[in-house]
Amino acid sequence: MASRWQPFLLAPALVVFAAFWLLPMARLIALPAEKAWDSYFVVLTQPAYLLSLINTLLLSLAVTLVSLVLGAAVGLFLARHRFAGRRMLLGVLTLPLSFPGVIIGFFVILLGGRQGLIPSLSDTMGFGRWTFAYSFIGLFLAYVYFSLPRAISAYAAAAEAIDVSLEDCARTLGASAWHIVRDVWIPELAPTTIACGAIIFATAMGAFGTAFTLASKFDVLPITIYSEFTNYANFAFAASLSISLGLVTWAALALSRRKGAYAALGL
Amino acid sequence: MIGPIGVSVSAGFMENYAIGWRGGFTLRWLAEVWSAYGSTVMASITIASATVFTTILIAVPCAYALARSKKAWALWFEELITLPVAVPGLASALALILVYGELRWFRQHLAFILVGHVIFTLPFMVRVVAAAFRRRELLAIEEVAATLGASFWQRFSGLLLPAVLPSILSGALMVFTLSIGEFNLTWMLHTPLTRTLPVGLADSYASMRIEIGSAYTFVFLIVVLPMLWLMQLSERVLVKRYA
Amino acid sequence: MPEQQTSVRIRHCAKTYPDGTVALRSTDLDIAPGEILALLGPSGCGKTTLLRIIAGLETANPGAQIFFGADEVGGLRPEVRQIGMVFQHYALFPQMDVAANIAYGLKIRGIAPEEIRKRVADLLDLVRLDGLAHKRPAELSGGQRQRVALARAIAIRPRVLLLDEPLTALDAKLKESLRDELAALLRQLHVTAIHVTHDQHEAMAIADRLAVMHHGEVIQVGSAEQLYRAPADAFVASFLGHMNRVPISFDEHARPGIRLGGLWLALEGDARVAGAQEVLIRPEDIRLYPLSNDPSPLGLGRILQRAFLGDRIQFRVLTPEGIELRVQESRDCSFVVDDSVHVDIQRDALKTFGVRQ
Repeated sequence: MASRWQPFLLAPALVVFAAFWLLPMARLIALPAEKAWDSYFVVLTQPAYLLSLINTLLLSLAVTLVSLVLGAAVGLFLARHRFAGRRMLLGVLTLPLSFPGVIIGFFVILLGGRQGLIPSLSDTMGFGRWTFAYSFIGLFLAYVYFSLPRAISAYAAAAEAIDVSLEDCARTLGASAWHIVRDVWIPELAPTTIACGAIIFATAMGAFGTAFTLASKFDVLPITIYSEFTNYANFAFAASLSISLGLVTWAALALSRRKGAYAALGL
Repeated sequence: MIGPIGVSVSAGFMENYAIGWRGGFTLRWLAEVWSAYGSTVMASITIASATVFTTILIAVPCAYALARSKKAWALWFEELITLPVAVPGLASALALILVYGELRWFRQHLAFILVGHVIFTLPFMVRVVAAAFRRRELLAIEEVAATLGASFWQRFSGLLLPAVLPSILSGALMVFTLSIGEFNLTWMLHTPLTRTLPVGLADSYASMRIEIGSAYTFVFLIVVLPMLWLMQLSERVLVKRYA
Repeated sequence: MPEQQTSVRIRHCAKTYPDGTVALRSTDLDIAPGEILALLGPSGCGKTTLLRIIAGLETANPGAQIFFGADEVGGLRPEVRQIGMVFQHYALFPQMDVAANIAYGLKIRGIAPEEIRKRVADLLDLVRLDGLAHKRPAELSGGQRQRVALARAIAIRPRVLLLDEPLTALDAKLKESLRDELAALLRQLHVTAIHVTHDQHEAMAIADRLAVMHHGEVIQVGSAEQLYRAPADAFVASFLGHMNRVPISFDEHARPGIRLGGLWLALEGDARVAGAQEVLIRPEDIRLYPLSNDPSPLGLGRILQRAFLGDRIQFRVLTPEGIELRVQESRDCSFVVDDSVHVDIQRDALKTFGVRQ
């Protein structure tokens, strides 16, 4: 009906997006080629980069698994049990979603850095100062801290959306609690699990601020990219690594899109 | 989960984190934060407000066009603008620097960061508002108004915009919060003259005492928490209105 | 309300969607000034598509022509066609009160506020909504909303009034009472109206003429009585009221007829249509009689089911051939389930139709 206005309505978005993303991305994608064609594959060919990629993948996978399991437990519990202050609790638990990664890194330092709470505690208990902030464990804990809220809110929302009549019907047909979990809950929650898992994975892969603050020896790809860019002015490699990373995260999210629960998570 | 937040906030007021509360309560860290990083608060708020304003201007017409289009490329376009969210902020920032880094006046201006934030938050605003435009009742109302003689602009400004206002507000809050907390893009794009709150935070964590970092984190929390609370409130109102 | 009444002529109107679906085949239609025409048919038959094309909300395939009186309006946007439209779910502006809703079209046209106030008051009176001028749509019942939608549409004195299933969203009792009101109102207004519905009773009660549509085509146009008594094909026959279907067979001389209730009823004259497979019989054209010991020329049947519908009784009767007939009798009929009865069918009640091209 109003199709003659369409071009004008879309123009601002198109122009801004083309100028400040499409064009720059095209340039970025073309950059490694200026050095050499096989620059695109440095993530695979150079051992240091490959290690970084593998580290990041392992970390992200571990974080995703743990967050999904814990998040499911908490989210489902919250959805099924009504009590006073429940909504507030949910609100507080999902607070970390809005924190920049650096803050979460800082929390870990507060708890487990050189002057941290837990090292002091372990020291007084006689185990020596357990400074975990700068190791894999610190990174892992931080990543779980910002991933868990996503899982909790996704499962809480999904659990509430499960059609109660499906459960009721199963019960009239004689299904036990285990049957209900297997035949109603798991299939109903499968899309959420896949979508949420993909988002957590993609976020963990691309997370920069947290690793930056913790400056750990455990190298992750975003940090590697940053180093190449700032320390070695190695733009071509930085670009190539960014493209590789971008492909992984994009693929993970494209997969989640198929499952539809993408939209429910606010994107 | 809440523990670390509590620890962080209280640490900002301790004289000496290493010895805990026994060292005493003080506000001097807060004062130091303000003198060293006070400008970042204003910078972040300015950029976030500008981002909201810009995304509204760009996203609302775009959302309407996408919501009314029956062609396939509309979906494709919506996917396209969501790409900056799927791709790590680092990459987008790198790309921006590659192309526009040479323009000194642009590179060193807050607008450079604004651009990054707009690109990153645009899809959120577009999706929320497009979903509102797509509602069946709005479609019917538009058609009725057309049969009654209303022109496109009369329909858009008089009927459609008021109807999607709640969604625009909700999107605005989301964009504001995203912008305030944005780090990945901003760290790459910033210069010493254009530092935002998260950027300052990272700086303080790396180079300053824990107490200052904590006090600074506290400042961040008091800026962000009201926004979040407002956001959750608005979500609930929206759901009630349209459910 | 409009001084001049407008005729509507539609020529070569067809609609094919980009994916290839044919929503409407080439249609020609003539509507007299002040006439109420119903577009009647099952969902997907193209009636709403045709209505929306007349409204200008959708465009027909090239070559279509739509005339309002002497003006060709096919190329005009809906804003300037001077139509009034009532939507299935009313589409009332939720933030405006009843008076503002009704006045909307008038305000757009820049009519003086005094005049607007007067017209709105007249309309509120006409649709019997006095006193509700300042209510919001959310505070109104379904029937009241429908009246506001109607008032809003006629406020601008449209040349043609278009109604898209206006009663479908209401529950049964309300539907019936509003149907009569709507019929009376439309007659009073003397405006040319096109009314889309899938409910034959609604169409028959409200419209002067009905256009029955199926698979994107207008099958037959006529008054309710014409369509009922002389349907053009099996679809029209079974859409308006119920039809019993009995398969045709042939006797030893290869003459067509039906075997029913143990009797052979030969098809004669007009009833012999080439290619016909079945005979259609209206439930009210079948009479039931108690069994008697006298030899009788009537057929036999047994009552399977009895439904008392208040003003009539509906039976399902099983014949020895295994055919179930729906029979309608007056409410005084005393047969009960499992009774054996005589079944009588008038010869001219047998309708047959050839295969459609």
